[in-house]
This record gives sequence, C-alpha cells and structure tokens, in this order.
Amino acid sequence: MIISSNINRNLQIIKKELVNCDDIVYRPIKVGKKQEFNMALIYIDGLIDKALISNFAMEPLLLEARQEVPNPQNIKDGLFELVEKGNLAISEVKELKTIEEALDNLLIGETLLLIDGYNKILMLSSRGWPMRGISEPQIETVVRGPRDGFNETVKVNASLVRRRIRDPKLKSQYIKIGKRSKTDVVIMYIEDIANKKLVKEVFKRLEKINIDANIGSGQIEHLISGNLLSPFPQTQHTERPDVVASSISEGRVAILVDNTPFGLIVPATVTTLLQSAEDYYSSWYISSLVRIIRIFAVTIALTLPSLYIAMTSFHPGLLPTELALSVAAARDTVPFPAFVEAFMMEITIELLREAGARLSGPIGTTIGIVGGLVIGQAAVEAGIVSPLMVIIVAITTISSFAVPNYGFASALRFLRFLLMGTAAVLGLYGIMLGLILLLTHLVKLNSFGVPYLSPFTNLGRNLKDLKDSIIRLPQTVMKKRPEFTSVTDKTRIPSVNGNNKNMQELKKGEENNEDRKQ
Amino acid sequence: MKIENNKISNGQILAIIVSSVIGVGILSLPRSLVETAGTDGWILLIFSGIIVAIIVTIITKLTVKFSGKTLAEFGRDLLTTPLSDFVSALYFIYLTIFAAFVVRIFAEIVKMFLLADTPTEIIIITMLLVTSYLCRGRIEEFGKMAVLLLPVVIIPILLMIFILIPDLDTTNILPVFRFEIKELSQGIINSIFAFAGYDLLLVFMCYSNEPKKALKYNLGAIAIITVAYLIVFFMSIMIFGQTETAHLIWPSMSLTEVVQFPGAFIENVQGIVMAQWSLVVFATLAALLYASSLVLSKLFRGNEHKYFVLPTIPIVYIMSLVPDNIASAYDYVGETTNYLGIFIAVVLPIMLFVITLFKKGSKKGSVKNG
Repeated sequence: MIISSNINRNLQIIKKELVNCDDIVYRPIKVGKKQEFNMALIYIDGLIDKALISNFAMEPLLLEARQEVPNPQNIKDGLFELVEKGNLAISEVKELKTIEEALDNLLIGETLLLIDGYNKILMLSSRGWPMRGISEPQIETVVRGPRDGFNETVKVNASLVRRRIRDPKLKSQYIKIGKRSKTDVVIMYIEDIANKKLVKEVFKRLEKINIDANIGSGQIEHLISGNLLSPFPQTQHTERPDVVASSISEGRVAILVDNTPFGLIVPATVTTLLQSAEDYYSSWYISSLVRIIRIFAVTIALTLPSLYIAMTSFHPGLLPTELALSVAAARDTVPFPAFVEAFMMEITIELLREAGARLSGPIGTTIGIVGGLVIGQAAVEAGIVSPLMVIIVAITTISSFAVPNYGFASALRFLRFLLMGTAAVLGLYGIMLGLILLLTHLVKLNSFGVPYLSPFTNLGRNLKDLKDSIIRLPQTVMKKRPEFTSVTDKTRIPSVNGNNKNMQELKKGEENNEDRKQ
Repeated sequence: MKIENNKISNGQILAIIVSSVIGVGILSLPRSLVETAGTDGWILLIFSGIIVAIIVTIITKLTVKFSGKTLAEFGRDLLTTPLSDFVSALYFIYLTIFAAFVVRIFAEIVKMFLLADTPTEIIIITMLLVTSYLCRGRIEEFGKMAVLLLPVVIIPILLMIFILIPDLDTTNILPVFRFEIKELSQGIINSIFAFAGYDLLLVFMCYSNEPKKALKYNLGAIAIITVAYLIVFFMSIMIFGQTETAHLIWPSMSLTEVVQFPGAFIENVQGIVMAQWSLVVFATLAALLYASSLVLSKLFRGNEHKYFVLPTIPIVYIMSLVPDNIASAYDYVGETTNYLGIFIAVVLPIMLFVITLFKKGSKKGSVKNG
C-alpha cells in the first residue's frame, strides 16, 4: 500500500490495520516556531526504549525546533530531509516507502515518524524491550569454561559469538521465518572454512520452511531435519556461545533463532553429540577418559534394563553361578515376570523425571526424594520389585544423565523401551537384533549430508578425525580441522615454519617491550 | 548437500570382504584343517592364502578393466548374453545357498547357547528380516556398516591371544612338515572353502571409487583373513591338541569356553561371544544377501537392487530349512563348494581373465590389420 502525503489519511490507514491493538501508541505533535508542521509518532508500548524516543526524538522536534527561526519557505520542501539528517539524535533512521514495510518495522519495536506532506515514513530505531540478562547456562554447565549463556534475544546471542571470533570472514546472515511471527533467524558461519555446499543447503532448508508462527529452535530443528522418523537429533542444540564459536571455527554452521536460548549447530554426528564443552577445557587425557565413560554411559542407558530381562528370564546360565543364585533369591517374592517388573519401574522413573522437570526447584527436589527413596524402598519391602531392579533402574537413569546432549539422551530413553520389548520376546538374541536394527538406522542416517556415525564408518580419509572422537588428543596434535564437514580451509594450526615465524614475532615484541622499559 | 554417489572406498570394500569371509569360515576351520593335514594345517592355510591372493589379483585386474560393471554386466561382454545370464543365475544360486547355510548354522548356534526352546524357523526369519533392512539400503550405507563391524570381527580374535596365552601348549603343533604333496592338493580345495566370500569382489568391486588402487586393499583383506585364521588355528591346536580339535564341531566356539577372565567376575563369556557372533554373522549374511539381490536385479536388467531383496528372502529361508541337522548342512554346502564353489570362485575368474587377454589380443590384431 502506498503512503499518501496526507498525514491524517496515513494515520487512518494504520489505525484501521491495527484496530483493537491497544498497545499501540499514537502521538501527534506539532513542530516549528509557529507549530505549522504536523507530525506523528507511532510505537508499541513496551517494545521500545521510551527514554530514547522522548530524549532524542521528541525533545529536538518539540523544543529545539521551536527556538530556531528558519525560513519557512526554505524548509518547506526540505523538511523531511532536515528532520532525517539534522534533527534526530537517533542511531539508526530509515526511510520507508510502503505501509506494509512501516507496519513490519512498527511490530519489531521501531518507532514510526509520520510527517505531513510527504509520502514516506521515517523509521527510528528504538528497539528496547525487557529481556533476561546473560546468565549461566542451565543444562550445559561446565567447571572450567565461561559462564555466559544465550538468552532469548537473537542479536545478543549473535554478538556473544562475534565477540569470540573477530574475523571479517565470520558471516551472520538474517532471514525471517514464519508468515505471521516473522521470527529472526541468524545463520553464522566462517566463509572460508565452512563448505559452501553445506551453507547453501542450510539456507535452502531454512527458506523452504513454510509455517505461520515459529515458536523456537526446537521447531526449526524438526523442520530442517532430513529424516523425520528418526528418534535421533540431527542438529546439535546448545546454549553456550563458546560451543557455537568453536563449532563454526571447525567449519560447521550455527543457526540462532530469536526467542530461544538454544542455538542449533549443523551437521551433528554421534561424536559431536557426545562431546561437552568441558572436554576442551581440561587436560586431554582426563577428557579422553571422560569420553570413554560417556560411551559406557550410553551403552548402559540403552541396554541395562533389557539385559536384566534377558538374563533373568531367558539365560540365567550366562551369569556367574553365585550372581545367578542371588538374583533368583532376590526375585523370589516378586509376583511379576521380569519384563513387567522392569517396565513398571522404568515407567515410574520416567514419571518422576517428568514431574520433576515441570516443577520448580525445591518442589522438584522433594519429588525426587519422595519418588526415589520412599517409593523405591517401599516397593522393595512390599516385595513388588527386587532390590536389584531398583539398582538397575537407578544406574540406568544416572547414565542417561551423563549423556551431554539432551536430545540424544531422550532418543536413548525411547529406544530403551523398544529394546526391553525385544529382550522380553527373544532374550539376548532379541537385544542383538534390536541393536543391529538400531545400528543400521544410524548408518543410514545423515545430518546435512554428513554420515551420522562419521568418522567411524570409513577407512581412509576420515580416519584422521578419530583424533577427536572417542579420545581427544592434545590441541597441538590436531593441526588440521576435522574433515567430516569437508571444510574448505583444512589447516587449523599453521605448519612448523609458520609457528617459528610467530615465535620470532613474539620474541621481537618482547624485545621491544624491554627496550621501552629501559 | 548430497555427497552420496553410489561409490564406496577401497577401505570399505576391504571391510566387506574381511567381515563376510571370516564370518562362516572361522567356525569349523581348525577342525577341517586338522582333518586334512593334521598339525601341518597352518602350511595348508598359508598355501591356500597365497592361491586365493593370486585369484583375487586376477579378479581385481578383471574388475578394474571393466570398472563400474558387475559380473553380470561384463560377463555379457566376454561371454555371450545367454551364457553370461546362465553364469549369473549359477552365481545367484551359489550365494543363496551360502546365505542359507550361514543363517542355518547361526540359528543352530543361537539355539544351542541361548534359546533352547525357540523354533529354528523364528530365529532364521527374524535374522533375515533384520538383515534385509540394511540390504535394501544404498551401497554406501552397506560399506559404512562393514567398517563399523570390522573391529567387532577382528578385535576379539586378537584379544583371545592375550587371554589364552597361559593355557597354550606349544608342543601340540609338533611334529611339523609331515604331510605329503598329494594330501596337500586335496586339502587346499577344502581350505579354500574357508576363504569363500572373496568372490564377492566380483560384485562389489564395481563400486570402488578408486579401482586403480584397489589391489593393495584387496590383498590386504586376504592377508588379514589369513592371519586371523592362523591365530585361531594355532590357538585351538595348542589348547585342544590334534585329536580333540578334530572331534569338536566348532573348535573356535569351544575356545571361548576355555576363556577365564582374571578374577572370574564373569564366569561365562558365552553371552558376550554370542553377542559379538551375531554381529559377525549379520555382516556376512548382509554381504551375501546384498550381493545375491544385486545379481538377481542385474539378471532381470533392473536398476534398483532394492526391490529384489524381499523376493530373495523366502528363497534363502526355504533353502536354510532343507538340511535336517548341522551335519547335513555341512554336507550340502560341502557338495556345493566342491562343484559350484570351485567353478565360481576359481575357474570363472581365471576363465574370464583368459578371455579378456584373448579378446585384447584379437582387438590389437584387428587394429594392426585395419
């Protein structure tokens, strides 16, 4: 819709578009010594920085413009220019040509300035809404890493990443997703590291999204995943800017979504999902050990209850005799088959977890105590479940919390029940069949064209990536970037000659400092 | 970003060959070696390893010449179409018989160690269906799976050395060099059976992304297999001795019964071994099923092997139920290898190679004449 040069008409149109929107403020003003120029400010209450508008837009227009005695004949034609260029102490001002554009900007939180007699509208940058400060990440805590986490404002999040990589090649491109919500989505990557095809594919998938309202990055994750039937996450979510920064410096692409403190990193592989930021802040052999423990945790979280079912109801002979006897003795009073027993306890734990997650701090803890201790103890004493079962359920749950990525841990939770089912039907053989199916599925799964199980699935080029997979070698050994994303610039640490050069420069610098001291 | 191009690396082909050959061969290998050559079985093994290496070289040369084509396709160039289709059909039958044998033996072992009351049919059909999920996939997926499973096949064999070292009796391999040349030639045919599966190169080599460099990897695969077999042979003969090895049905399986972990916190490793074993059998079976559905699809001039996987399954299933027991299963597959196997795995590659030499010669001649 074209803007007319009559201010009243423009106001009418905008008011008609925004009828019943009571949070919109219309502020007509008269400017000039004789107050001959009609203007109007429009903004949304609560989305703008009111002090900014009143101090640096209204004050110059209302007070300062009154003291001047410009020649009305002169300014009549150039009023718009004068206001735009010379009157407003606002950092960003833009001319808008259509009503739709004006409405878009208004709804983001900008202020519109309408001037009578001109068929364009001025946009004054005034975004400023109440937002949560940068606080410590909630689910990805580390001991030795930085404490800042993303918040709900995408610009802040992008700046947190930018602060860590001061490279002109770090690109951050904005696109809008959602017909109605018009959510800002930022795609960040380093141009000369990330594979161009990957960046293109990310844009393609994001632009293909066709929804009306986007609520958060979880929805985006779902919409850009290649395989919707897979329980496994095909993007890595994180609330840590340092994780995003280190990932994009390895040639991956980050997607930050407005209104969500979770960024997405693609492509994701099993290896990256089992890494924690902590791994890179502690010494390499400790983090290698921790990673091996994590893989152990994945195995337990996935199979322990099903192994219990298989061992007790199908092959007690495979257990050491004494253990088999004590298991049998413990299960003596239990009136259910092992499957029902295990299923019941697992469901109880899931209930507790769900209830605890929906409740806030102190009440959540109470649920844990009541559920874990009281029900567990009572159930054993009542002879409904065996003590061994309680131990197994506890170990399984603890193990699933040791998996760093929440999405991956949820997938394991889900698959655990399937494996319990196959174990109940075919015992250990059933578990193996289930695992083979699972493995086949993982082998078939790709995340943005990258094999989900890389680097374990190819003997050859990708083998170098093993340096940073199950174990993590020291930083100095990993001179090349991981290759699973087919990076353009492969060298992370320049070669020995380059190092010497750096050292020489460093020495030179030190000498200079000493010179200065003298 | 599609990085899939219907090609796999030579390393992945190596993994396919190693895991699919070791899968069945290793089970009864020490017994058949001891039966034919006594304590000198390892010499037999090395000899047949060398022979297989030569044949693999021939197959590699052949497939490099016709890169991108499987047996069924370049066979049409070399033999006439009907003859080539007949050979393909024979190959299909051979592969399905082998797959049936593998799955039957597997079912018998599962029944013996894990599920005594479950019908064999259930074990066979579930295993076949699970395998078909992978086989319906692309070749890249199959290659990736083979690489994943390679350590599962290899590492336990190496581990076994360390665990069993205290129990080894080295005097059991004596006396050496007591066989006669006549026995050797007879025994070699038997022990080539242990290498059965290298003929899958005829099918899978066409997917290599660098066929020119493949020879190194293919010979590497045969070397890995030979070493693994040697380890298992020496272990079983050192632990059980010559006579007892000859009496055990599956000496390699029995080896695991001897295993005692220090501290004895696990009394019975059978469970772990069975878990590992089912992955190994899965790898073998998947390779056979994949190859047979591929051959079938080429036979019917299909482009997608995917649609031929499910029709192959009932054939394998029925074939696997033909033998009454393990002994007759071994008899059946022994017959097959003696005739069909030797033809497919030994005669056919050599024959095709000779034909290519001949054709090349005639082509050159014709160019000169023209």
